[in-house]
Amino acid sequence: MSRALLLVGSPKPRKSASRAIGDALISRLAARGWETLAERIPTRFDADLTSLFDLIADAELVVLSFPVYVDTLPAPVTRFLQEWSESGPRREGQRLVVLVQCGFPESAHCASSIEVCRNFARATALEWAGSIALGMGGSLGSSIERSPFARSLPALDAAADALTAGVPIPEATAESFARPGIPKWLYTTIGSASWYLAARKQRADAPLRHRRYVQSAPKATR
Amino acid sequence: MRAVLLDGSLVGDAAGARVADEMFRALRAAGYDVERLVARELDVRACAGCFGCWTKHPGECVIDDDARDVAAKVIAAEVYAVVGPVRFGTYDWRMKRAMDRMIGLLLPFFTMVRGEVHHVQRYPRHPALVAIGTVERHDVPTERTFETLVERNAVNLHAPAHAVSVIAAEDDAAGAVRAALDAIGVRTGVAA
Repeated sequence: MSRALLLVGSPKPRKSASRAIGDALISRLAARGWETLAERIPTRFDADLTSLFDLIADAELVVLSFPVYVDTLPAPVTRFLQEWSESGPRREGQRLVVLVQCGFPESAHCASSIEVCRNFARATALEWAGSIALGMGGSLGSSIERSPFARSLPALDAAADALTAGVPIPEATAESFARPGIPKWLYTTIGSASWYLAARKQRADAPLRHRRYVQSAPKATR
Repeated sequence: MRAVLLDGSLVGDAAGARVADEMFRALRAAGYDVERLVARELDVRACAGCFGCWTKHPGECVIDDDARDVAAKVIAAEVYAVVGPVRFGTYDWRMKRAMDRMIGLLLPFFTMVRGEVHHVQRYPRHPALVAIGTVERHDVPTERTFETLVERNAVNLHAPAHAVSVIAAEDDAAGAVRAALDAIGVRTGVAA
């Protein structure tokens, strides 16, 4: 039985959009006979990665799912890839799939992250098995079935079929997820309102537009 | 005039330290009061992805460590210089952990920039961004990825000007630094 390992690079301990899209893919792989396992990438920078590397050594397919932070991979995911490249396992024929999501409406914001992962795969002699990039990650919630991306689930089935057949994720799958499920104006309007609601719920200690720092001196004013 | 230098050079990384030294000297020579922050020495935890810097404690990360000080210094500066190793086309994690914690310098709201949605700037002025990446040996795909990344950072951070360069150990570090600073309008006084 082939083994697929989902590695979640979101710092959120439980529900996250990265986990949701990753689970949606590996559950489809499980339905096709794969043995699947999911683990989080540690967010502590001194975390021991040995046990994670042991799991990677046993996997034919690694699915890396993470959010975009400042146009690229979050720091803990970057550290993980650096450590994997320098001292992690090498397995001939091992494949890498990358799932990236961002909070902007356009999936183009994920492009740099995908290129970084491609460069990593090349440097580490992993086979590139494709990628899926999503904008509007904020609308994904914790379940893709109940999100605007539910319409792309058939494309995800096609991705699972392709990976099971040993070929990369089809372009049509990537394109399906790249198309926004709701209009940009609606997403940004709802998004802006949600920040005010979250601020009220969390009892914000200042107005949302507050300038915490002064620009004439480097010291914080807190 | 203020500048912040985020120095990503590693322990034993003589070539990286040399580039950071060149950047420090060039900014000082151009009249800047330069704050040099050595990334590997900072106490910075990972961004928790909680958005508390937008909703709970607007404008500042809710985690109280060195990242707050880095953000305060960056937004107070006219030039934000980043020097350090390029890993697969992105920043070394020691630098990236501080960068991840700066989104409070922006507002959560959205605006259109060059046909794409980006976040609105919180402050009236953001610093120019100059990035010098260091590599052991040149690799075109890695360098293209890094250049694109820095360009996107400049857009998202509302930098009024930006420049990026990737250099290997055998390259002319001083020349690369001068050329990059000239490109963002910093007069170093020496022809690039």
